[in-house]
Amino acid sequence: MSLMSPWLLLVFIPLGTVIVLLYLLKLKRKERLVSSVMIWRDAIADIQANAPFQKLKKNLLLILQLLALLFLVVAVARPFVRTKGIEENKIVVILDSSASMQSTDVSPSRFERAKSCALAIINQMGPGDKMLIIAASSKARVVSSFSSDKKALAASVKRLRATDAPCDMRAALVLASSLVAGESAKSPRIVIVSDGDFGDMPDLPTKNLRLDYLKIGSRCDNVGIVGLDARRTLSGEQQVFVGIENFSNRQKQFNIEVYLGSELVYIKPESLGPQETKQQILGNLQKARGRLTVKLDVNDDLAADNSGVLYLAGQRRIDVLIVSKGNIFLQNALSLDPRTQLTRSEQCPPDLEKRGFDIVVFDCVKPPQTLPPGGYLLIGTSFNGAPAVENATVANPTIIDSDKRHPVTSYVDLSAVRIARARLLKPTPWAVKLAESTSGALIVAGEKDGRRFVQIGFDLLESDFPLHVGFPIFVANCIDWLAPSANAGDGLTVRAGEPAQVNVPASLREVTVTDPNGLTRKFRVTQVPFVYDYTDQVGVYKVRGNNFEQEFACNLASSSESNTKPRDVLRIGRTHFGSTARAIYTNREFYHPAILLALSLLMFEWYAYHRRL
Amino acid sequence: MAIEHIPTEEELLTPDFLRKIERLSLVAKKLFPGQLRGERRSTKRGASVEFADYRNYAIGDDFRRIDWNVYARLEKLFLKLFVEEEDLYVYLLVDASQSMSFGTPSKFLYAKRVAAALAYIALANLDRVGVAVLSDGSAQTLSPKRGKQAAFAIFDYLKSLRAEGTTNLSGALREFSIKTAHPGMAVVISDFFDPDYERGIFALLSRRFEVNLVHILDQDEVSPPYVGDLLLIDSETSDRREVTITHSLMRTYQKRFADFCRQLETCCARYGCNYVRVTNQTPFEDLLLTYLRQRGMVK
Repeated sequence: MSLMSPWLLLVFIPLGTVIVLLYLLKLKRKERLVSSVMIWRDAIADIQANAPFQKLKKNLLLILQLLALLFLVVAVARPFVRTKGIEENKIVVILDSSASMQSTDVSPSRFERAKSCALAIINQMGPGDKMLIIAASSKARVVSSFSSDKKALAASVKRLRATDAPCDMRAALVLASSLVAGESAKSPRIVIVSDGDFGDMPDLPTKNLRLDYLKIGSRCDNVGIVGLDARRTLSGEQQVFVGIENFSNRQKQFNIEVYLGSELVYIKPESLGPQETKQQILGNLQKARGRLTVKLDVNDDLAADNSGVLYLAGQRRIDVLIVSKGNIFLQNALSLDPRTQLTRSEQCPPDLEKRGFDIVVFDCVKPPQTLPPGGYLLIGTSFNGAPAVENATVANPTIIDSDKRHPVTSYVDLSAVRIARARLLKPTPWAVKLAESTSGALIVAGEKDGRRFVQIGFDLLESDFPLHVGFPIFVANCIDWLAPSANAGDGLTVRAGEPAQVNVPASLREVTVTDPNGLTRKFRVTQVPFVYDYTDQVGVYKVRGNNFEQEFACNLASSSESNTKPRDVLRIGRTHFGSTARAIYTNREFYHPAILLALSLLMFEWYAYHRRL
Repeated sequence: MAIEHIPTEEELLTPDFLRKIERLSLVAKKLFPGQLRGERRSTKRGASVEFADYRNYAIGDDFRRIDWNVYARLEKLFLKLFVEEEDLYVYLLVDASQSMSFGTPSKFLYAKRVAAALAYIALANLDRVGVAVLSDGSAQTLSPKRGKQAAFAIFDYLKSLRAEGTTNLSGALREFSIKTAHPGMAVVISDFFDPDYERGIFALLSRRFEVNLVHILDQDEVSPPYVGDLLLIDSETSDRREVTITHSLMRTYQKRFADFCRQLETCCARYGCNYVRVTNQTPFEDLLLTYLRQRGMVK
């Protein structure tokens, strides 16, 4: 037995002292003249002689009062015993259903073990207890709202399947907190059943958070693909980058197998030491295109990260129209990409839509009011549908900030660019600033209704930007970003749990998606691109429609998920929550019996006083 | 339904009651030598009509008492002896200690009325009645009086008594037994709140008194109506006892009280004394006409 507030026991000392002092005060007895005390004397002597606990009996009231006070003080100090099981009105169970939970270090798998733990908690529920179950993977999902129906809760737990997606425990905790907010005065108890393979959440508030962490998993024996990417060199050769990490504590030997379609095109034996990471660039793929699958032929606990799929883009021509009075720097920069086919014009052709350019560059030439879907680079010009409105003209603006994360300005250093004159750009809500001067934005980008824009607020010839190293990189980035279809190949790749945006024809009203398990779902297309959100299994997804078919691949490629070492301690906010074996223990308070006992003692004391026991 | 007329202290006994008890007489089991002729059988041989014994004739005896019939048969002279009838000394010993003043009516008033009634009965039967007041270990005695006309003097004496002083019953009875020249019937009227009462009774018995005890109690002494935390003060000794009235204490008190009464009763049975216990709530008429009769103290 322990006490929640043991220091409150000290209250007994002053209160007990007061009671004893009051008791010690001389009792004012009523004087009564009697004929003789002879019989009384004998009776008193008899009582004193015959009662073995006479001294005790003499102070019975004091003892009862002190005992009642003691029990009251103990009740206030909130005694509790730690017992197995739950005793909460409301409890939230967050079941980690991320990829790492598929590890087979515990039999049959971590997730199955987690489910059995959740079922055990359900069995321990009292008649009035209610439970909410949340499955946490890339998204937090309420599996069962607050219910006291054990059968229904158990059925919803049994229906759960582990995903190949990483775990967003933060979203699950936020969801749990929002669902239980205001449910009761006492903050509900949250039980996380997980292997802890998710990041710390130091900024999450933990005030009133009553959390238990049930650790699932025993070891980490896993090798996984933590990075997978493909890039075509300017010479047109495909390069595939594979990042592999051994998370186990022993040497691992395995083969890296690369399949193009279903044909094995590359195999290489590999050996990784404990905790070793290796990056591989797989060459010799020439001008291969299509689905490329990288597999690790390794026996480990987690299979989801042993393969990855990429789509290699073919050598596709990019038709670029330059509408300009003449800009040799721009022209040369665009010509550097072997995929580009340049067309130069001083005026915008009226049949722009029919010509089907991938990218149109308006260099100080005002574009027409309506533009067909495609990519547009606006240099020193603007129009009604542009991502930014031109404002005041400023002289010698200095670029002080650029967005290094945006594909257009990544690897481009704009800090040394000197500009003679520029128009400040005021971006529309759907546009983002890529470069800013002290006075305002100078480069913005945006995408709307199938049209991608990069807008530059100054004439290139009125700056030294074309003379900088970053200029050809900027132009190459613009080509890649403005013509995404040329870069995407036959399919796209997403990380497990992230939504996939599939460019479907605008005329398509309905598509079916077949996931890697063969499950086919039908969806109505309400917008282009079509967004598919059920990417919780790694593998190839097939999107089909009327005369339309496209694949996209889903890879895990998550270092935190591949690292399947179970964590003993979760850090949430400033609190560290340790794991609690395989069972939940409850601090079962029993201040009610103490109060009842105290009241009973007081009632007995009252009875004893009046009946003169 | 007749309502009992409760006499005041000035009155002690009502005339009606006196008429009722006039026909009663005290019963003495023992024979005592009297002083004057009366209606009681005496240890002396005398001139009553009741034959007692024969004895040989001695010179000087009255010829009139010779049984001539016996002489005719035996030719010897025998004198016929008859029982002498004399008066009886009746001593009424009234406890006048402070403890007797308790109760409503007070035990002392009740005792005085008992004494007055018994005195009247005795005087009406030509007995000689003396009154002794027991207080502070001494016995103040009103010399024995005879004749009905003495009743009022005794009544007046009783009326003048006050219950004060301490109880030393054994001392007072011993003193009385020593002082009294003519033993007779002694009626001790007291609450007997003296642990040594037995020695006093023994002192009377050793002087050949016929001892009768009338034990008068206050109803509040039999079952005290007390509650709470009390400081009990003894009316005579000012002895103080702190008590908290509990069920247990009350049970023990009543047990001790019953023991006290039983001991007194046992003592009386052992020495052949009459014992009557009454409370101040017992109707006085019942005591005289029923209880004392049942106990054989009066007839």
